[in-house]
Order: sequence, then C-alpha cells, then structure tokens
Amino acid sequence: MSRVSADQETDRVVWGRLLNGNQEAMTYFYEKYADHLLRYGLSLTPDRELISDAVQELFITLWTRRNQLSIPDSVRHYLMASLRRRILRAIRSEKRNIVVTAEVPDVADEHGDDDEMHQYLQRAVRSLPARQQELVFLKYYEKLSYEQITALTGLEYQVLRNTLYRALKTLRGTLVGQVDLLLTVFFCFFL
Amino acid sequence: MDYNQFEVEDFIADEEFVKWVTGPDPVTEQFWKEWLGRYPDKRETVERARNFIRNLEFRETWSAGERTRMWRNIAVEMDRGSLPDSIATKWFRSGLTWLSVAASVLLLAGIGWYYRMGTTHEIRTDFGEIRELLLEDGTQVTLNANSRLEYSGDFPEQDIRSVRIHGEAFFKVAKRELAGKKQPFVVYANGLAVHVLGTEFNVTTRRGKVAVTLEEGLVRVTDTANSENTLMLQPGEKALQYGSRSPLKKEKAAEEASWKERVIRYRHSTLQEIAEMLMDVHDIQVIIMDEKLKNERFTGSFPSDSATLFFDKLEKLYPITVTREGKKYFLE
Repeated sequence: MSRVSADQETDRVVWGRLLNGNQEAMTYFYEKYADHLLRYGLSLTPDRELISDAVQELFITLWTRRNQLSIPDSVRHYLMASLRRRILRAIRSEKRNIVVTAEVPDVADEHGDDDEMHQYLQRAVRSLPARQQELVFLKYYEKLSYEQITALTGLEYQVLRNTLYRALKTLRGTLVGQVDLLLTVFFCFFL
Repeated sequence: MDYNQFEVEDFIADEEFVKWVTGPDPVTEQFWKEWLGRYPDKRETVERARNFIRNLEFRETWSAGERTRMWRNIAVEMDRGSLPDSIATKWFRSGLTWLSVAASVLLLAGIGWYYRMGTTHEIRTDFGEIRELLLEDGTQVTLNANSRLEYSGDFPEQDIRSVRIHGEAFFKVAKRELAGKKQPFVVYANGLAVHVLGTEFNVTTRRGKVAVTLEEGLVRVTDTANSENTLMLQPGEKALQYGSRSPLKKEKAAEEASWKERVIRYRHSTLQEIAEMLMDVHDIQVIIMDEKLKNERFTGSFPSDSATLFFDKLEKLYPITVTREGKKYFLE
C-alpha cells in the first residue's frame, strides 16, 4: 500500500476505540464517510435507496461484529470495499439495477459559477455505465493506483485500462464543444 | 513511452501522468517540463488532460433528512446490539441515571472525577467547576465547567496525540518527539479537527457551535467531514463554525480566554448570549421574558463562579428585575 497519511493514522486510532465499544467512534466515521460512501455508491448504482440501505447495513454490521474485526490499513478503503460488496450483492439478488436512472442532483445552486467545470464533469461521468464510472471514480477522484484498484475490485490491469480508456473516449465525445471551458480553467502553469 | 503519439485520453489513463498532476515531485516535474519543451504543440492536449484530472470531483451529499434517518436506524440497532462489555457506554447515554451516578461520585470524590472506558480516559467537570489538568505528555489543559475531555490511555505513545473536547478547554500543548519525529497534537471538537502546530489555544463546543481561539503559535482547523473546509490561525485569530459541516469563518479574537481566571468578560454581547454563557457553566436556567431585552447589548465582566453576583449587578445597573425560582432565573 502507499504512504500512510496522518488522516489515515487518526482513523486507525478512532477505529481502535470503536472496537472497544465506543459509540462516539461510530459517529465519527458516519459523519466523516457517509457522503463519501454515497459518492462511491452512485458510481456503482444510481439507486440511492439501495445505497442508503447498504450504508446503514454496513455501519450496523460494523458495530455488532466489532469484536471480530481488526484494524485495517485504511479505514476509508475498508469501508468502500465493504460497501461495494453489499451493493453488488443487493443488485445481483434483487435485480434492482433496472431502476429508472436517478437524476444527478443539481449542485448548481450551492456553488459559484467558477464551479461550472466541476459540475459539468460530474454530470458527464454520472452518465457513463456503472463499471466505467466506478473506475473513473477510483482512479481520478480517489486517486488510487491501478494496483490498489485491482485489490479492491478484483479486475485485472488490462481490463482496468481498457474500461477506463472506453470511459475517457466517451467523455471526450461528450466534452467536445466544452474545449473553451476546459481551457479557461487555468493557463499560466508552464511559465 | 511514446508520449508524443498520445491523445487526451491516453494521458489521462497514464499512471505516470496522473501522478505528476496529482502529486508532482521534482523528478516528474523535471521530466514533463523538458518533454513539453520538446513538443510544444502537445501543450494543449496536455493541459486538457490535466484539467480533466484536476477538475473531476463528485459533490453529491445526503440530504439532512436522509442523513438523520439513516443514523437513527443505525443508532437503534447499536443500542439493541450492544454487547455486555458496553454496559458502561449505555449507562453513559441514559441521561438521568447518569446524572444521579455523577452526583454521588462527586459527593465522594469532591471536585471532578475520572472515568475509564475501555482504553479511553474521560475527564469531566461539573457545573461551576474549572479544572487544571496535566496530561501524561506534559500538555496542560484547563477544562471549563460542564465540559468533558477524552483521550486514549496510550495517547502519548501514538504517532499523533489526539484528544476530544466537549464544552470548553484551554490547551497549552507540550512539544514532543517520538523516535526522532515531531509528534503532532490534534484536538477534535464536534466535526472539527484542530491540528496543533504551535502551542496555546482555546476550544469551545457549545450548542453545536465550535470556536477555536489561538493565543500563541499556529494551528490548523479542519472539518473532518470535508478536508477542504480548513483554515490556518495566527495568534489573536478565532475560527468559528456555526453548525456541523458549515463553512469555517475567521474572526479577530475579541477577548482572551478569561474564564480561566474565573471571570466572564463580555463585550457588546446580547443578554441572550450572556445568558447562554452562564447556562454553559452553571446548572441554572435563565429565562428572558421580554424579546426586546434578549437583544439588549452589554459590556462588562463578572466572576464566573457566581451567577448570583451577575444578577445582582444587572439589577443594580439596569432597570431589570430578576426573579428566582429554584434553578430558574426570570429576567424582565
């Protein structure tokens, strides 16, 4: 695994308390990761309700089975991997993936105009097929290495590369016409 | 690698390229600078790829309703699924039993008390009580009334020393090294983390509001739910957060932590604010009968260990009548 950040270290300390039955540690992780898990969940399925169920299940299981758990290298990745398993299992068993594609929430009102690019990209990515979204999410938002993504998803390097490549091709197609927008974001980097 | 044949998506998919964009080091920096010098016509392609990587962000959040509902379900299961070893934690949550237990402990032990939960230390102060603590790492903490400090038993041995505060405390952090490396000190307050880079500061968490006031040194205040919501404090500055997840604001600190000297100082504060300060540290209820009176502003100070003195002063100086019924004070 890559370098251990201070944040990761803090998580591990708090995780230790959780394993000792400290309820506030649960609150800490819920507050810290609920939104992050939603974002990752949305790259696996557009079904928000399914994600909500999976997140609740994940935290409840964490608590009830805390004496069988150990301290992971990265709590963040541990939670993500666990959420992934739950969501994929739910999709398989309930065939719930044939839902109407949930609307990508419009974040326009919350942020200023300078965030146009973020929103545009987010929306473009959210219209990709699930697996492509997941890989884009893990690679560029979560900034995992191919090796880490393989560890999380079980997909081989070549599959990862091909899927990502397809995703980026599609995105590029969507982004044609947005060239100005792409270029205005910054200039003076190579001076 | 034949980079000059690359299109935007090839760059984006290239691990080395991504590394350069997200966390450049001197070697990659040097490489790409030279490469771009050699292929100037590739700049636009490279910039587009960089833009994509830098701007890709997901910002979906649970709505407040969803968030609360989900947590409620989890909390219900947590209480049900509690194992025998967490009886202490459950006790701790049921307010009334707890208060009566606390009261008897206080009677026995005099002021303050000490509680050990698993490996977590908890130090609490009662209403009207201020405590000076010396932690095992040499850090001095002054804990204001009606407050709680938590830290793990082995915290001086951790790579990062971390403690949690509910209520209000003043910290004088001891500089420390562990195996030749500086050992950072982090204070958690609600959803905020205060990373201590220097020494003396005050943290308050009351009614969901968090304030961090720096007296000496340097601290970084970060929202644990959103690491981009962060700011750095210089001495004399104050970071404020008015509710969890709301943006951090910076202000000039109006006054130092005068409560340590058992004085509550207020400057141009509304009567409502002063009443809240009193209720934070004393087991009393202040009820202001008149809406207009709530927003009257006052400047002055009074000893923090006596609420009665404050009301006496208030009655003498202003046309305000104070009526007391047990723990309730009515102002009109």
